Amino acid sequence: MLHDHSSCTRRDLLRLGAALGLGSVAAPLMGAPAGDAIPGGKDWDRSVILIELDGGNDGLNTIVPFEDDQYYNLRPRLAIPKNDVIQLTTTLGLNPLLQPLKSAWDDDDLCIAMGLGYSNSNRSHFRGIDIWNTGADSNEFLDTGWFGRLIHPASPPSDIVGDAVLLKRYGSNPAERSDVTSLAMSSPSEFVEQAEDLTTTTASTGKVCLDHLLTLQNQVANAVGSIDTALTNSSGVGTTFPDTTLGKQLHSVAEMMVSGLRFPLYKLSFNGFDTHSGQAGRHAELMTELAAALAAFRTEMRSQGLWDDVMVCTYSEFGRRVKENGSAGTDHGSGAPHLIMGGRINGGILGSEPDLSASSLDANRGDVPPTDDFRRLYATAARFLGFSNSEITSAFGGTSFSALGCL
Amino acid sequence: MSTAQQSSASRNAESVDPSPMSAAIGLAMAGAIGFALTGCGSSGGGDAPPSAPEEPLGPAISVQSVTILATTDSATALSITGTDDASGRNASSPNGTSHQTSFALGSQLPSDPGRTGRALHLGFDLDDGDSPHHLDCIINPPHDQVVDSDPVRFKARRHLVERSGLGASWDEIEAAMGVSHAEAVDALLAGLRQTHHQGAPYFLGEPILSWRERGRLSQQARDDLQDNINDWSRDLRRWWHQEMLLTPSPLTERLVLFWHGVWTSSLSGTPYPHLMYVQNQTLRQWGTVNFAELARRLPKDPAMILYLDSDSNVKGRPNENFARELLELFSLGEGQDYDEADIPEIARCFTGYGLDDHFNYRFKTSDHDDGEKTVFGQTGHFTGDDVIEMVLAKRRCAEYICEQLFDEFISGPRDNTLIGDMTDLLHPSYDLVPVLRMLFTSNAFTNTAGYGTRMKSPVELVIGTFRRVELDWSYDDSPWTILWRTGSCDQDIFYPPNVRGWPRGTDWVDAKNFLTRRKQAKHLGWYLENRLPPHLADGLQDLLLSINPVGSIDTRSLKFHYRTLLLDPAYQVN
Repeated sequence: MLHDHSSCTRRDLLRLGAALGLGSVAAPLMGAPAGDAIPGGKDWDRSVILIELDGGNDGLNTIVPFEDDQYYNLRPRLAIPKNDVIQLTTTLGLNPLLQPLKSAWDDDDLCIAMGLGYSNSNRSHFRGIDIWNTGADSNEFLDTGWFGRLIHPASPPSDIVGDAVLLKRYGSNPAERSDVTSLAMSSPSEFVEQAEDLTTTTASTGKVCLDHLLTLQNQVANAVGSIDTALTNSSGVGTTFPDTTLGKQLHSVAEMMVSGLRFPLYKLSFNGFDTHSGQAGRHAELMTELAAALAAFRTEMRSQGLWDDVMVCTYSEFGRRVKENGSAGTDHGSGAPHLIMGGRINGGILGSEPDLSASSLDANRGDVPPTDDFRRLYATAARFLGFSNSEITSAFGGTSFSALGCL
Repeated sequence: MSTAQQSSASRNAESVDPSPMSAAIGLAMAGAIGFALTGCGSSGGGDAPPSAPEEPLGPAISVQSVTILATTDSATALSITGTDDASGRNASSPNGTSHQTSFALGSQLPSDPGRTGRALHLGFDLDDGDSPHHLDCIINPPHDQVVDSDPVRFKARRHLVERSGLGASWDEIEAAMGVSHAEAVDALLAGLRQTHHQGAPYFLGEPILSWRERGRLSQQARDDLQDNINDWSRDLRRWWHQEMLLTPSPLTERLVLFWHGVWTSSLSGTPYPHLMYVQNQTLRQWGTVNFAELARRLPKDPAMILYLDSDSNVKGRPNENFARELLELFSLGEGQDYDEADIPEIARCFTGYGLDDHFNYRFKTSDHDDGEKTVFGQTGHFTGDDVIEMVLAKRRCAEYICEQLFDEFISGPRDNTLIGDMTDLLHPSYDLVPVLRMLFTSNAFTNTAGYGTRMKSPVELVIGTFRRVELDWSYDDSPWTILWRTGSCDQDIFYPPNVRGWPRGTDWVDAKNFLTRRKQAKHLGWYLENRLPPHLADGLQDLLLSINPVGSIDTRSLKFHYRTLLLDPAYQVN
């Protein structure tokens, strides 16, 4: 209850409950049978944190099929030796540099969803990320983001000052939609510093670019006071985050979470994954940075009692080709595994192992085929936030996608 | 000894004194030139449509008299003779010791077709008996009166200069005021440059070492070299900013930046900034002239080869990076007139397009896959050069480039009729000048409804501000701070965000960039407000804004006026 003392929202009650040691007030959510509206409706205390691995992460070297000879045959220079892999099951394991995430796995907080993607990819970065952000079919062009369509009809309570926070943004974003407030920022403190003298405007010009600026002016001016108050009164983040691109972004998320601010969605972006050449060293750095930042975030959320309120997941425009190329790198591919983490996430590996057989590669242009529709990840996120299946179906234009089995 | 007298009338005048004798003769002139203007708005009329063969010239600005204040301690009489260089008219004052001389220059200076601008160039000969002295004066009429003399024409010319350049300065607009729209466009195109205006970056003479040579250096020498390379990379960016600030042809630099955003490469991943300089110069040399020539060269450009991994695209192990972006982003557009199956085949065609140890282009025969490939339905032993010709032969390639030009210079919903006409003109010669002429003279471009509908890029916002107010940047550190200013708004030149290059339109601005752009506008206001040339005070809003301001503008002082104009959301668009 760091701000808005005048009204007692559901969120305040939840936080009060937690403070009084009543355990998880939202516990019934866990047992909600799929297909039903979640009792109590949306939980505005929760946040989904989407981390875009920009450039197309190499899934095979992230979650390694260490018993598959084809993997070693096709990647003589890039394959991760079986003995180095952190073995999670009898056939799949973590890249050794993801070791900091092992404790989340051991605590049953890390789920790995295999083979996410979409069919008929044209392997373009930009088309790929647009498909992921809009939630479109590969032959469908949408100009709104999947989360924008989901959140728009939901009318969050007044203390939710924005529908989404974007901590790094290139091009499209999942919250894209006019009249959905997505606040892009480098950090909340910089946002407050730059916006504190901003006032709202009623002006409208009928010119697209100028009206875009005026809309942003109003969104920022409406949010800045609450953010400022919450940050000022916050006890602050206790964990040291790595001084990296992703570390800083997750630190910003933690700052806002700890301050009591809630945004249903945080979208982060971490680039450098387009490893066409010299992949080994570069991908190792990326995995190291990813793991260190996620581990710090988990530590902070747990120490603040917020780990149950968040669902962190990665996504990327595509995976990479199974066979390494002439530059000790990999070209654009298709399906890939993604990480889902959180206190309420049931750990484990979901979905199919990558099929690297010659016949599969022949049939799939040398790629790991997508075995699960990427929108199931979003359905999972939406369910986590308390959206009903019918609301989710509506956001995807009438097509029903079931949540993954990690909730 | 003479002394200068200041006069309040001087704020609209500048004096240029080229004479080295000024001090020797002990005579100084104040820029104390008073003038009166009549006849403004007498014959302007509306802006003629671009199809009209001849536009009426704008109204005359007349100067009735010039007053010179000068003092001298010479015993002899002071003689002042004035000449209007343009008309040849003379006027002289009676000799005398009177230190204030007022003399007529004729009742009206006509709008002389020989004049390039509206400023009057006057020469005065002064003689105090010791030594003759010449003083050249440029008299700028008050800007608001120039605007008022023909506001429609002013806005049209400003629109042309602003959209085609890097911030419309008063002089650029004024020069265009005196000619028709078509003539102004021709002048812009005639001014295109194939090389840079300033000298080449200082570090170009520094040798490029191979990786092996670098490996043989001592640790200290390697570290020193890397420090130097970091400095050169920074200074290359300053160098281009400086070119943008100083160039007489801002359209040239807009085109270079345009191509840099279409055929992207980045300093990140290039071992030496020399390589990006070479590419930048290739963009300038051919991107102002002919697209086909550019497209033939860039696949062999070392920075491009490194950026899209062509050097490791070798026989038997093709790397598709360049092949894919060539079609998707550089020439045809995603999925347009090609199939996914063309990509690996084209990658094979480009195998062997590599670099030698010193990062010069070299075709490596042994790395080239000379087998048969099927590209766009044709089969043959194609090379990358063949692929470029096959791409150029497609009308779609010309259309794609015209779409990009439309988006860059006009923006908003595409006018497919115009793009079709431009495509007909571009294909198959790929000469760019006629297409640019068609674009800048099109109704889609000149239409007044389009004023203020295009989002400025950060470079246009920041560098444009320096140019709009004619700041003398050689006296400050602005080329350095400009890097920070534009970079904080997500346009770090030579470091495009990804292979798709710079955003356009509303994609430039989210909440974060709304705030950083506003912050930069605010800082530029503070930074420049005490450096503003006073003569810009009149008509400042007409100079700075393409459309009416959204908020209220504070006109209490030049400082506030300037500050509030820059902070207004309307300053973000042109």
